[in-house]
Amino acid sequence: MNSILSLVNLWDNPVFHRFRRSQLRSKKSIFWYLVTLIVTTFSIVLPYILETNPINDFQAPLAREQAARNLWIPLLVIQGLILLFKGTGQTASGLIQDKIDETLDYQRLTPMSPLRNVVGYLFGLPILEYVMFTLTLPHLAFIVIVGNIPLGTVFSVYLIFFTCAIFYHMTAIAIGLVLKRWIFGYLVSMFSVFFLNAVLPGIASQFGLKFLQFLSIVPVIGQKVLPLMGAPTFTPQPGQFGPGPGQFGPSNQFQRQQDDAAFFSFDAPVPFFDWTLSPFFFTLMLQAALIVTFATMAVRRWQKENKHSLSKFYALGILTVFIILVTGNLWPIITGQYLPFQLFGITDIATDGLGEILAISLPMVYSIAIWLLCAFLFTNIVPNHSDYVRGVRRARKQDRKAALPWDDDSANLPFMSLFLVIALVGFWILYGQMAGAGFMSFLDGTDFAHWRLPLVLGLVLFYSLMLIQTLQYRGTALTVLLVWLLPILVAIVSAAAIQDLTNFQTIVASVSPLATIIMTGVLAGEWVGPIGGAVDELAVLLTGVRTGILFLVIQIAVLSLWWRHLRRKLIN
Amino acid sequence: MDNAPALEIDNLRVDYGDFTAVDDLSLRLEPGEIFGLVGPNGAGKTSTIRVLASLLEPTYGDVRIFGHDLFEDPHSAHELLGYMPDLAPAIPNLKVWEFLDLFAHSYGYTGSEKSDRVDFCLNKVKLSDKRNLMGKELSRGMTQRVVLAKTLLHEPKLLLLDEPASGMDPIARRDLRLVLQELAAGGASIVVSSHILSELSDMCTSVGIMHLGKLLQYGSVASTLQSIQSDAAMVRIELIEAVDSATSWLQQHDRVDEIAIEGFKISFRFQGNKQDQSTLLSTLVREDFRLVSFSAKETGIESLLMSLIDGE
Repeated sequence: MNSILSLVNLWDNPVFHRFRRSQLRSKKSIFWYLVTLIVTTFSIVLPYILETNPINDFQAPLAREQAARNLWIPLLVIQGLILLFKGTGQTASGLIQDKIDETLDYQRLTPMSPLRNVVGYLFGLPILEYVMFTLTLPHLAFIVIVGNIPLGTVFSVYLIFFTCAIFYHMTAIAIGLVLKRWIFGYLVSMFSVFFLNAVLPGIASQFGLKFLQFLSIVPVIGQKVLPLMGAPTFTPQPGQFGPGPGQFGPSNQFQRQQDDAAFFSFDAPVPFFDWTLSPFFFTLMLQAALIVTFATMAVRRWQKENKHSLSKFYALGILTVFIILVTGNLWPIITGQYLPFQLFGITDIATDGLGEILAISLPMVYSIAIWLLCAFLFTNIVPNHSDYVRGVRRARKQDRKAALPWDDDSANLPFMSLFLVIALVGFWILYGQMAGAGFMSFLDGTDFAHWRLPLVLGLVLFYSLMLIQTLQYRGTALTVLLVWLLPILVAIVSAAAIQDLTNFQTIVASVSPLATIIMTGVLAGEWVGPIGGAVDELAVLLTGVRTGILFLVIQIAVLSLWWRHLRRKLIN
Repeated sequence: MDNAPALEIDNLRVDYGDFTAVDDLSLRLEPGEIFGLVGPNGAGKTSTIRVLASLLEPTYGDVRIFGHDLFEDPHSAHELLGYMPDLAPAIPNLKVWEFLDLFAHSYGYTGSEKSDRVDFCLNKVKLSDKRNLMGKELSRGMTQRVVLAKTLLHEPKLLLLDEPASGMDPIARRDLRLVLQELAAGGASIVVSSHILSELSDMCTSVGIMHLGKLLQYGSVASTLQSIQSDAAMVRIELIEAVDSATSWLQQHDRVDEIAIEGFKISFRFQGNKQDQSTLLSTLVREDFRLVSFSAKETGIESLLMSLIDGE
């Protein structure tokens, strides 16, 4: 109990006091206080005056209440710039600076618990931004009182706002403990905030990964703030859900619009298997889970600088949870309960064939998303060669042949294959549900067609693991450039030059595992009824997929031999 | 744990990829001992000290601090440890007293006890009058002293000081020596590293000489110096005449090397103890070399250290 109290009692946290003293020195901070007050006051007062007393005759004056409510979003933008952007950048760069100065080591050696230290940095580094935020509270009070906004709504929005702030600042701490240059930390963390708030919510939903939009504050603004401004909200209609399994025709246009609204609206309930969750609750849950994850990463790095940010078990847990979230979010779609037709940019369901497109695209997007996540996890948990050798030497000293499979220093392939197993189990659940709902009747229907994509996914995952383990980060980066991206570019340029897709282009592109996954995904469809010239293109794609699988097998074999040779050299 | 040694290191090894920085180091330090770790740059001193401070994970090996296993129970070990890195930095945007206050608080001091402790340590390093200077305004030597004060805040039982005197002026060095001796007299143990043996020889009770990750010599200062000094001395003779023939005679002597001639004076390195030096003098007289003077000077500690390292 005492340790929990000391954890949350910031006034008893020496690291917090350190930053309170250094960041709030009057010379530095007065400038920022003035900037905050001037910008916020100007941004609130001027629009309020103009909306309640328009300077021209065309515009009707807004009621004071509505005019005040309309100012909440500009205020949230200013508060977001202060706490989410500036605060996150400051957290990452401040921590890296401490690491460069080696003063972080002093703090590491104190008997303070790692978590208490992390909490001190988490709330101490952006303390100037918290004070700047506080200076905007009178403006918020004005908006709430004049706008007659329910306090419950204000509480909900700012609960998510602060959860977001803590999540982003915790991300910045995790970034700061890994990166070595403060400017990179500053830029990477600021870019992360921009990406999570501005880019991801739009893109993720388009590809069916709706839950990723809840990493930002946007859904709660959609749910709680926009309705106050008179924006229409999504209201679920009884019996709205879709055409049922096997019915993918263009009929029931109204139904499709309802389904779209259900899936794309920020304020719509979040589908999760057969349940629906409130965006507010879902955002809170997701961000809390990520805060815990980043705190775990930070504590691990705090305890030992050369420890991996994630343990192998935790990484397996992240992959499992991600698969559960993807599957849960897609559940109403993959079980055929409703079909948001704007998915994957479909504009005309009559000609595009919604069922077929979903049957092709969802497994492919799943494969690519899982691959990207696994690649990220592998870069965190695969030991560098120096650590690997240390693990072997330590094990030998303890009369073992190698480090324990789950140790940071271990490069145990059977254990790492668990990632493949979990990814493929997830794939089969997704595929099985889609098949049960009748999606796969649009596809090839041959046994090989069912195996093609999971086979390629498994090979690509194993290949990525071997690549990172054998060539490490720099070698992998070079391979990504030369083997993953360059062949695709060559194939595109060549196809553009002759304005056709031939075996040459697909074979060249198939050197890249990225192209192989996409070609395999696309190839899944249209075997039942190819029209006209499509037969040739599908044959060309099939050649590409076959050579892609062959290239993958060859690259894995080469990397395996290389790793065996390297391992022998490293150990001896 | 009461009778446990201050520090026990068993078979410590540190690797950076192919490079072995510390190779099977074993060491035992008793309370009150000041142990000097000497060696050239790259010998493995800093790696050893960083492992002892739990800032670097060794390949393998055991470290116990007053009986507490450093890797199993780092929390208990940290309470006993004080660490001062090489070129120790102070936090630039904190005042000296704020810097010390941060760590006093981190070590659990609060209220007046905390401020008393900060004042005491500032006084100890003679920086009481600089308490309101910012970290970025301190000179190199002053920064070293501030960090030393920080290291002393929680009255550590084992101090790990990596090149603590670098950047300090002679007076500050003398003060450092006095502080360390006072702490040792109070029962604290100190590991202090330097690449200058003479810097340590007058404050340490024991020394170890490291080179290429190995501990070449380890023991009390006197015994270590004796063992590395062995029988080498720089001898200087002055003659009235026949310098050339004396030089030729010396060149034939198998215990003589590094001969240098300056007028009627010849300097050379002679391998042998005092007895052998006496025999050499009588032989020179017997050989009819007309000597004016004969003086033997023990080889300097640094050159002896270098000869030991070269020998390895």
